[in-house]
Amino acid sequence: MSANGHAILSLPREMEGLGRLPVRVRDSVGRLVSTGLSDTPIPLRQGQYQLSVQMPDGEERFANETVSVRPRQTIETYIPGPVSEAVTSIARNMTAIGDAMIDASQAMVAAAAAMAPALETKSAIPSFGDAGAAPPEDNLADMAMMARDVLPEPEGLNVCIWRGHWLDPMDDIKTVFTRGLGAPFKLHAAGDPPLPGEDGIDRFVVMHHMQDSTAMIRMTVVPWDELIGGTAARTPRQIAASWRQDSQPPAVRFRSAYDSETNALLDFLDSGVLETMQTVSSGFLADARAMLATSGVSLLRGLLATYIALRSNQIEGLDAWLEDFAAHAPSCPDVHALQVELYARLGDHARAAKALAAAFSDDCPWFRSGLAYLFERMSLYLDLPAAKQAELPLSHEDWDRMRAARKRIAALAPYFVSSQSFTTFDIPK
Amino acid sequence: MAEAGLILDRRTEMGAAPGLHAIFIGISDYAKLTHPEEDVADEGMGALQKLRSPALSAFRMKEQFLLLDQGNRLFKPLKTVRFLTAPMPEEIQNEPRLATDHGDLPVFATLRDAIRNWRRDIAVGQEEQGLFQFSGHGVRIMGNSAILLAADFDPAGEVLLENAFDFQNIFFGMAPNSKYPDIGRTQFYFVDACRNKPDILKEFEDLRPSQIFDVRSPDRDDRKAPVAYAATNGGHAAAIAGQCTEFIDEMLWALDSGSVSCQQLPGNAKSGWPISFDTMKLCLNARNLNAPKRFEFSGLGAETLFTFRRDPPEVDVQLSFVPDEADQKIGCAKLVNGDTNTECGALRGGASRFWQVKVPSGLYRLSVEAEDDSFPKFQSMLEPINLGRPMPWTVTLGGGT
Repeated sequence: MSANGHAILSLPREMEGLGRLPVRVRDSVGRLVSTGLSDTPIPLRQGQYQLSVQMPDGEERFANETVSVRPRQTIETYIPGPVSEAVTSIARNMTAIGDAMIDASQAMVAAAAAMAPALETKSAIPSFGDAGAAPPEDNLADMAMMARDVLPEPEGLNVCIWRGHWLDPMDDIKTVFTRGLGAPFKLHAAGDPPLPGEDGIDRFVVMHHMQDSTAMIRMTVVPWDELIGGTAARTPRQIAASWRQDSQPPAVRFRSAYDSETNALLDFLDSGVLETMQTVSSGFLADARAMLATSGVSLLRGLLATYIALRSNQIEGLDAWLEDFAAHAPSCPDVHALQVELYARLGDHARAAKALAAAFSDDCPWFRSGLAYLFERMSLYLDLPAAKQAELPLSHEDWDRMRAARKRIAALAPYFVSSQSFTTFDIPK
Repeated sequence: MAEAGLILDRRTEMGAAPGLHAIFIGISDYAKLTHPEEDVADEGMGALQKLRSPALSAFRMKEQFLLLDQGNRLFKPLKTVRFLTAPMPEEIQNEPRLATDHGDLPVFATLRDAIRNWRRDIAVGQEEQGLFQFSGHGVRIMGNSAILLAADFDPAGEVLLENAFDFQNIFFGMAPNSKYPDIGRTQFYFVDACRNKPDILKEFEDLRPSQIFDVRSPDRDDRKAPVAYAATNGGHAAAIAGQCTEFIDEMLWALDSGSVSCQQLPGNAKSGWPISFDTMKLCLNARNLNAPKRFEFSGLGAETLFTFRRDPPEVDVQLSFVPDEADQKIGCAKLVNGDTNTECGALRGGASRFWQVKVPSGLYRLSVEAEDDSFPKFQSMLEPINLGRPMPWTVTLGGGT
């Protein structure tokens, strides 16, 4: 057997903030022969290879040269910088988080590119700051304002926040139009100051729209992000929200204030291709337990990676990670949904049932998959023959609560929007 | 007595060698529903009418898989095929073979037996594969729960959902469990039905469609079991009467062409262009930007390989050059294959402002030259050109020239 060499595809500094991205390796005739992550050695047999990286928006970018891999040697190649030096220097000076700054910097890059003499086919990727580095809180507002100053901003989207418990209005869904609504405010495409996270209550962004001449409201759950684990002081729970201007019906985009890799993963989620999401998240999960103990991880990133692992049914070793993760995020409503699904997939229905019973005291799962998992497993257990139900460690009260929850979620089901990653309902007025 | 719906049986011939067990169900002629050209007599479930596309859709899917099998393009050869349809005259007019080649009538009892036998075949070994397609009427509760109606569904029946079944009952029933611990771990599902909820269902406290399988808690569920739905939650599947449903039409295209890269095929020394639900979705999204709004890809392990092509699918490349002044000065635009250096010249589109060229999927460099010296020769880096790439490919020429 011939000894392997290794190839490493490194990202330019402007792209470092995106974290480790999925890499594809093709041989000299263009066949896909391996996959891996950027800045990570990929074992390869001796030969000539073309390496490329998958961007969060689905674009594939190639290293500017073919690499020659030899046994026991590691060769590094690079993705070329996005645009001219002039543009790059602008991007480097920006320490952006969230789409507010992404949009702003793209506008600046585009302006600079128009002046640059070189021929280009790509737009630039701005710097996002180091992964895990928490910018000072008030910087978020400053940066969002700066972004608004850079871009011509349309008027914004009128929204308000509904507060309550997600299952409460289900006796009469129309009550969401009259109860629990906060004062209206505008959500901008270029971003706004972050929304603080709140535990113990569900919050939904409420947007108005028309569908087939019917007045509707769209409600999207408001998650939060924070750095969990690690040794540093706990960070505030918050999330940056912006208007997805190109979306009809209206939609909101959430961005982590703490971890740009989380935002890259959210973009991969939007692109909807499981293979690339899986590559990114499995790379993360391999190190996640250690990171939880040392540097800490973004709550949203941990959730996303676990959901993606479940979606691709990569459940080996997930139990240990989820146990550690749950211990650090007891008030995150998706944790019970993830536990229910994972334990059920592992065939441990006693643990799944316990997690299920606990889940309905929680807030609304942030991700639509979490809500679907809860409903499906609950339906399965409620439909079991009585003798099988008796084997599950649930009290009469638990069963009653589950029956009531099924009825309520079933009432909610017609309004559930399955095209959004975050839990969303469209309700006719 | 012949097994319900079984039209291809290679179980004896293939013995212990694993294969793909497919079941295709298409119900258009619902006996107890009115014809679409009649007035709607009722509300709720009574408003449902006969359909004019599902039987033809199941027929086309069956034919597609027989063809893929014949061309050795499936990762596992077909071992059994079950086919049950209830066609309407409009479909037979379009596809006369449906008059005789329609399989058994998918009334609930027959359909139940066929699905149970299908599971039994898949349960003989973990390497067996399953494929399930249902085209017909459906209503949805939530998640994977979708109530599918058999040909003898009766909206005026004493038990409304007597001749109906829940897709979730099938999906969970196909998971490994104490009765079938060695069931095939790779399963593909196509649910071609509406997923809205007629108002009448809201009146029922506890909906109980008939069961195909006993409800059991699955054992460790390590399946790869992607599901493609024709409609998102609350949505309607669409079709033109007498033709394939929109969903199956798109699936047929994607099953043939939905690949984005060449690679060595698993368990095979040869290279090919593999197709999974993931790549199908990617290609469908690039082909039709509305597709993701209409269809939903769910289930477990969408990246699981399903079928493959031996040759690269052809791509209609659309090129957009900016600024307009540079576009007007282009003398030659061509794609150069990164492997063979074969050149394919692009032509300025007639009605479209895009330049167009058709090439086999692969890695290419774009080369653009001005007819005069108004901008320097442009050559891109290697770029993947495949059906998953949204078009047009926009290229900025000349740095403001």
